[in-house]
Amino acid sequence: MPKLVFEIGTEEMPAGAIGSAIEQLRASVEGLLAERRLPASAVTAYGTPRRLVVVAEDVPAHQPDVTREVKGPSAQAAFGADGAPTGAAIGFARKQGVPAESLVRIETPQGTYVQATVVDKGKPATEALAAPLGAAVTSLTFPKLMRWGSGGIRYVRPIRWLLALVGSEVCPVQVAGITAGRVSRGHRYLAPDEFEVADADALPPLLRERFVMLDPAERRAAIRAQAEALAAEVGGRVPWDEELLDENVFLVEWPTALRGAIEERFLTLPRPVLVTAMKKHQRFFPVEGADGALLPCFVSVRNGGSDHLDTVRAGNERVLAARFADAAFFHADDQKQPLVRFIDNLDRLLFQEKLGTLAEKRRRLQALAGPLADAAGMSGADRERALQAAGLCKADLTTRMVIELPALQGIIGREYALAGGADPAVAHAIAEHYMPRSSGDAIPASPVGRLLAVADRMDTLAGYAGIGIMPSGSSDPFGLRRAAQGVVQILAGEPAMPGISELAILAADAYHRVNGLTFDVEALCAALRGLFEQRITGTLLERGLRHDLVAAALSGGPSSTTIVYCTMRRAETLQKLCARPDFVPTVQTAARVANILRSADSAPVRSGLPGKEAVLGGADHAVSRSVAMLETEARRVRTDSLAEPTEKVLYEAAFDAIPRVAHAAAAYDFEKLYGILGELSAPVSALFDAVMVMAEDQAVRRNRLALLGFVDSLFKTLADFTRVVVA
Amino acid sequence: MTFQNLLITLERYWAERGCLVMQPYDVEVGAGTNAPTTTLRALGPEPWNVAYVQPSRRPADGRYANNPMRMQHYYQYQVILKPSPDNVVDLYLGSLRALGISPEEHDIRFVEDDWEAPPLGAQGVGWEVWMDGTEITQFTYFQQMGGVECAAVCAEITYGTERLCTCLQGVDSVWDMEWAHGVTYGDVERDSERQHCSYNFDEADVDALSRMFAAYEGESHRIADQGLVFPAFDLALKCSHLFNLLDARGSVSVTERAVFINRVRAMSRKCCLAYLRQREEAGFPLLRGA
Repeated sequence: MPKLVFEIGTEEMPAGAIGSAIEQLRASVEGLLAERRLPASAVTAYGTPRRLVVVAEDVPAHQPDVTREVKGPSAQAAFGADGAPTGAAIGFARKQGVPAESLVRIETPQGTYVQATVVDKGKPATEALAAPLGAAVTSLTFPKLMRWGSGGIRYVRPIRWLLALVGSEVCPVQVAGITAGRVSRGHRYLAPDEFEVADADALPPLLRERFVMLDPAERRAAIRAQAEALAAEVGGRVPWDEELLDENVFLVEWPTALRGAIEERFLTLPRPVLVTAMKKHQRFFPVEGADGALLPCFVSVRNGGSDHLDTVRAGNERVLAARFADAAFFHADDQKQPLVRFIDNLDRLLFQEKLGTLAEKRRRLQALAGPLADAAGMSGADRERALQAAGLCKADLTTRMVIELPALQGIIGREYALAGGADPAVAHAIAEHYMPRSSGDAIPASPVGRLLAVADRMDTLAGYAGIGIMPSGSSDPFGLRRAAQGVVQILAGEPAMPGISELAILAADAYHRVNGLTFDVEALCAALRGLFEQRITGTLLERGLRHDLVAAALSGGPSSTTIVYCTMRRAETLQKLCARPDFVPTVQTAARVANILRSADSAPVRSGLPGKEAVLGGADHAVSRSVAMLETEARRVRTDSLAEPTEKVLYEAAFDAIPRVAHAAAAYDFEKLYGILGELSAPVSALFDAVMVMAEDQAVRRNRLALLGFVDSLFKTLADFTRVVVA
Repeated sequence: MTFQNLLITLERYWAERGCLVMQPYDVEVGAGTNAPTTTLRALGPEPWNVAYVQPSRRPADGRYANNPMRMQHYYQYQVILKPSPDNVVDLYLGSLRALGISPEEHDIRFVEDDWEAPPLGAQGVGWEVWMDGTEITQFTYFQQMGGVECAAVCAEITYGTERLCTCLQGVDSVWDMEWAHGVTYGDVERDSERQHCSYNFDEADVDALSRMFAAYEGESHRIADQGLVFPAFDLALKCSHLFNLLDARGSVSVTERAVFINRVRAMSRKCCLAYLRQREEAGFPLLRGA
């Protein structure tokens, strides 16, 4: 069976967009082939900056015929008294393209109808695929689209040619005023002429002859091998940066690596400066020696062959030397004053129009660091360091080096702080407070770095939430989801850190003190709670937890705020316990209690936001707060009115559980908590068996509901069991 | 290739390919894009193919002629092809060949670089063009101008003439590049560059500049409302340059900055909308040949 090859020829696409486009095209073509009854044995897609190519093996040259049955008018309407077809039947038959005599009667629940048997004749693949392949081109999504010429189509870059062949036949796909043919183009400079392709099989080898290596994996391997060989020639190796490698793969159609020289004098610059200048400005790879120190050379990848490589090398060396000369100048100029002096210029950098400058953000971080350290139980030298680092962590944003190379924010702060003799722990916290820089990145190694990283992000989140800006749909221009994700990643390992609402209240308080801004704290906390619940859910689902168990953990809990660590541990505990035989009965019992309360419209009102004083204090305070909360629930029960033995037994069991529940919750020992709560299952069931909760007598009913409300508040310290799906 | 010959070669190349060769615009601009022959003509459906040298000023980029590549005053070569032709990239590569640059002997690549100019309400999509690692051209398909979606999309090709020429001459500094006849770029420009840096960074009278901004701004709005689009746009350009001077002088705070940009945008947007309306009322005269 023939092969299908489809090539979309474009002007140079952004390197970052091509990988996803290749996969989208592959999936789309695989789907449309199956849908059009032309399934391929294998579909593969490739891409370079100038083209996306999909190859489908063993595509039938012709669609098979299909027979389908179409219901028509009712038999009564279709046939006259004489049994001859009426106008309605003739019209229906004509519309379906069948003779009226071929209509048959069928019985349906609605009565007798006529039915036509229609045979869809299969079309040649070239005809059947033209429209869907065109639709596949425009269905690909890209981060940004553009228009060109006078046409109305929007695409990642202008489409300049299309080639579509099924075997040796052209499939006339039409997109953006271009009709596909059998003409392709080679490398833009090395083989610029158009050429004809006789057969689908011929395209890849013809492109290779014309300096186009279609397969990104092959280009990747070629770049890696060439660069490693070049590095080995000088006794070095390339510390691979996969992202940079990918970018190079999608910047070239025919990679040739070359090694260029760096003047020794530049190697005294901090390594991150050298590496970042090479990577961000030039897409060059650094080379390091056996000792890990940078060697005075780099590897760059040229889009082309090895002719005139010396010209390219000379140009690459010259431009890199100019970059390094700039960096050396900035480095020397920055070092004329200590890091702390750069703080003076922070008032020239805007953080957010309504939230003020970076100078104000810095003062808020200073205001926030102390209370946050206290809330997290950080004291002594580390608390001091957190305050110092809060004052310094934004200073490098006004250095010439960071203005020139923004990716070095934090890292330059660390380098300059160390050069100025600062406490190394403070210096490292400056660099660490931007971590994790992406969802795959590590969290800060030091406690001070983690505290500052949380403070910085909570300041941003509380500020934006305070002025009503939250991410929506796919739009998150200020990176708020990423900020929240960073906080979740850090707090997942921080049992001592307060809950999200407390953090938000502290951050909002800093806005009040520094900027004189007063936010609607309740709305702010609600917005952040939603955002964080999404991030926590996403993180736990990625770890393979059941969705319903995550939801149960999120909507329950021993406190009125979302403590990230506590929530994640509870969800993990539920996941661990859910296979146990006693899990389902316990869930059912707890859910039955909650459901009765809900139907009686007497579900306990969860206490509102914690006061500021609730933020402070460690685990002991948490225990006494939980105990107080549970005792309040217990006091709603009028014990002297508990007449039935099962009521008394349940009340005593529940009351007896309070301190143990509080301790287990405060110690984050949720398996133990589950065990304690499990003891309540039997007395709850006994109560349900023995009494009618919804008794006629109003006072009795109210008291029983109060008792169940008390029991429910105990169950809720672990989870909201009504969210658990029992199969 | 002398600097002079580079400019002459580009003029001839683009003239032969259907461009009107314009003369530099005589109001201070930060880039060839800001000249009305680009900004205003980018609007609407009319075809427009022009090429011109544009002396450009960016006060904050000055380095007192001590940096080999950065200056507050330089010469852009600006080409506008509207609507962008299908072979626009090949046309551009042809211009490099005309300058003696064979793409197959170098590493010419197109690196994604989208462009935005908030004071003009303008944005575009395109590339930086690199030659052996040095950016020599900005290549942009305009998508929006004056906050208005472009009806026909311009390809804008902006050559960094000094970059290109230092590469061609193999010199490390723009100041050593030969302008023509043994006279260097430094001989021609260095004194002016230094004096302008002193003025921009150290001497400019902030109060006077601020008063001028306000005066030009008032005048721009007043006459734009009377339909005098071109003079109103010139005054908006004057304001844009005054803002750049104030910024270089270090006297613009963060909040003021946003306000200044909004004020310039309001002026230029008003001009863009009025220009588009006038062309429409005139029945888009240049569509006659299309």
